[in-house]
Amino acid sequence: MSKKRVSVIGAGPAGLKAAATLAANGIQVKLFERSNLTGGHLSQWHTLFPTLEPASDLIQSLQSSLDHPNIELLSLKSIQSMHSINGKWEIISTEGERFESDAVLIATGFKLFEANRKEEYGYGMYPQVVTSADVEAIFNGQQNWPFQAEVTPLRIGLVHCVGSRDAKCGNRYCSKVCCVTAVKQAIGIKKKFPEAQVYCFYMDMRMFGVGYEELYHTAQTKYNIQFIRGRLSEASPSEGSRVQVKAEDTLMGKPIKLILNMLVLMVGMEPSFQLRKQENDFYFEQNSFGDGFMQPLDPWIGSNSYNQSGLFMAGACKGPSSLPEVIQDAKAASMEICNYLNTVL
Amino acid sequence: MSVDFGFYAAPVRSIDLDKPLSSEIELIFEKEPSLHRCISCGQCAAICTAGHFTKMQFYKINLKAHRGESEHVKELAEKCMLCGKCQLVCPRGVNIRHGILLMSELS
Amino acid sequence: MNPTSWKDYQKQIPDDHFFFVRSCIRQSLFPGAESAMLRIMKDFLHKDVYEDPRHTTCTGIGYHSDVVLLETIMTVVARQLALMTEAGYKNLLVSCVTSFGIYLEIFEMWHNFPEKLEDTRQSLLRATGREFEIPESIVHTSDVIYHFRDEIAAFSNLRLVNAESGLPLKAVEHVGCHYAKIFPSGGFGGAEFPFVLSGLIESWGGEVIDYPERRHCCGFGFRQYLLRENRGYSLSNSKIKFESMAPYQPDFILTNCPGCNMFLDRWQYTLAEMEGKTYDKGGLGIPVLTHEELAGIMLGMDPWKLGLQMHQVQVETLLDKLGYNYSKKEKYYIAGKPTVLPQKPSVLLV
Repeated sequence: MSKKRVSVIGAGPAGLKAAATLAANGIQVKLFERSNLTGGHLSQWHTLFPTLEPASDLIQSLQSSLDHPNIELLSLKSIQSMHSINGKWEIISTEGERFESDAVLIATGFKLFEANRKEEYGYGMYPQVVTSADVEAIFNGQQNWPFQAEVTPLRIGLVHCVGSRDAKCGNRYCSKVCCVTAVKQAIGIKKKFPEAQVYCFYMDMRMFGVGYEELYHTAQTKYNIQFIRGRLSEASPSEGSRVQVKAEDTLMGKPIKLILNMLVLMVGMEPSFQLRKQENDFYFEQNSFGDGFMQPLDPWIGSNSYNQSGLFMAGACKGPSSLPEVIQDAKAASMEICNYLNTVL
Repeated sequence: MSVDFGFYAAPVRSIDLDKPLSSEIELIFEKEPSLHRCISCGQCAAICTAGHFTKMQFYKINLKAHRGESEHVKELAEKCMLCGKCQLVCPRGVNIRHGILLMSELS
Repeated sequence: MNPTSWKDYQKQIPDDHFFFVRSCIRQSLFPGAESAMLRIMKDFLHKDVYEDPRHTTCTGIGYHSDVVLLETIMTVVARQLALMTEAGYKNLLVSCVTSFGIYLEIFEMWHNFPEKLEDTRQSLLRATGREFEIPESIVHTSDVIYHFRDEIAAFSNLRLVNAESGLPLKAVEHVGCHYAKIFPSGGFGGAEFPFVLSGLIESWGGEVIDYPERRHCCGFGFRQYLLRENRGYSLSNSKIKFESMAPYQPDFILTNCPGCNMFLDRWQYTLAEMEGKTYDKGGLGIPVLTHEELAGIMLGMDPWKLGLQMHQVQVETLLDKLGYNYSKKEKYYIAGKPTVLPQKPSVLLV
């Protein structure tokens, strides 16, 4: 009997873990990735919460598992559509190439909210306004701090919920991990610039995971990071290449004015693609305003299955997730696929 | 000689975080750093004895001190009876009674 | 998802055949500005601009002060449009920014509530026997000046630079709230970053200073200043703007709304008399110009024919920086003859 074949779309953490798990179970995996790098967004991060260990350790561990005879990595391949024929799945790339497999795992992940859509914060206009992704790149040495390091007093602000929990941006949901990322980055900034004054502007502090609340406590006590409950209305340019921000301190019931050397926007997650079904074909399309994430069969037992036999999903393509959840999900999806292949073939 | 036009420019009420905190307030935080842990959950005020009859709410005056609005902090801190129930329930372990004593000593 | 962001948004402006409606405040307080606009359009740009002598105020001030009812203002606006239809024009050119906001607001209401449009048609017919059509386009005079900024610059041999140092003049702009904050699609650049004025200054050689309170309202309001007891609110908001722009030492302020212009001009005097403080180094205040006045200066018009003497804050410092050719002593002449000088303020130097 010929070997079972699975196509995994997306070589981020979910795709990499799933490919490794499936390969270890004797399945031939074709791993499709539209860029020329694997690791997805994880490869751009600097440290991981809540332990603050380097992201490179996890990246290397996931990427090294690709070195398996059952895994074939196809980089720079974007998928246009797929359909099922006689119980087999055919995937068609944007260049028209066709690939056949017995099952498909969608692991397309997320993209970050484009911060210039919140135009009042001036991202893309004022160099002192950066996103959380930019801060990770700065810590990784790929970008420079948007201020002179000798500046005193150095003041840095972080704004939670940019592009999330926001009907005006079409994303009513919470992006889950931005709060703990903000705390992580605030601590990272304080470690680098111990004399800086760091402010986090939050609506709620969503410290749901193991070790998250403790990280928040550490941020307040050890690093003296100020947490201000309230939204930012605007960032305007101020003298000395700084930005002046206006916010409301809802606990004080008064507006706040503050001049910052850097403003970090904690941008939320949006789905990378929409899956659109037309007759028997499934197309990967760009999102429109207000589109949500891909929906699995159900949130409990069927959380890795799509409403089509042989089509599975794992990771952040279903909704904002943390790395532990995404990796767990990839393992679970692999199990589901193995079971499916055993019953069908 | 200033002219009276019958109307005036109103003072701005926003909190100016660019203004540094007074040295007295900074000293209080230095002597009792656990005051930084407060998250305004309100547990202290919920159980506060003095809060039934006065405007004393510990989380409020602690927040005011942090934001540089300290005019009424001493006056309200003096309304505390030091019963200590707040400290029994504070989920973050803020040393409230010490904070109160320090705030009562403000000038 | 919009591929273009608001800050690059370009508004469509017609090239010719405008029906002009005046501004109550601009023609009362700065009449030279309004006539300069017409001169620029007709004599320099050779455009067809029609003005019906029977047209009235749009009653925007009354409406925003709850003195004029919604149905009344709709009917008044309808009458303006009836005069426009009668004259055969399809492009409305509005001088006042509040008025501009009123027309946009009413068109939006008529679009979403057609029964209101029908009621208005009936009201107008009963009251005056007139009928009207909705115009094809509605633009503000600053939109048109911006649209023709290159043509105007072609007539000019002036650049907005300091004649001595050669450095561009530093300008601060203030766009009226009713221009684009209510309907972002009504203004170049949308609500947050309108570039109708900054674009003018830059293409004419000046440097635009982006100051923290750029978007803040000047506080004109309507009911806020009509009653003396409330006027402090207007004053306080303008003060926030002055405190914010002062550190940058701008050479002048450019506005497109006549109300903003009046207040940013007038409150500098008031604050100087009340608090003894001016927002420039010399105690003379920061000159405040309207877009027509700036265009007039670019075209070399006589500042006193342009009506710049009507401003509370003197403009001579700006004209001297430009190296402008004008007569200082003729500032308060009428029909070529000297007249009584206005009383000098005690703090603000004039």
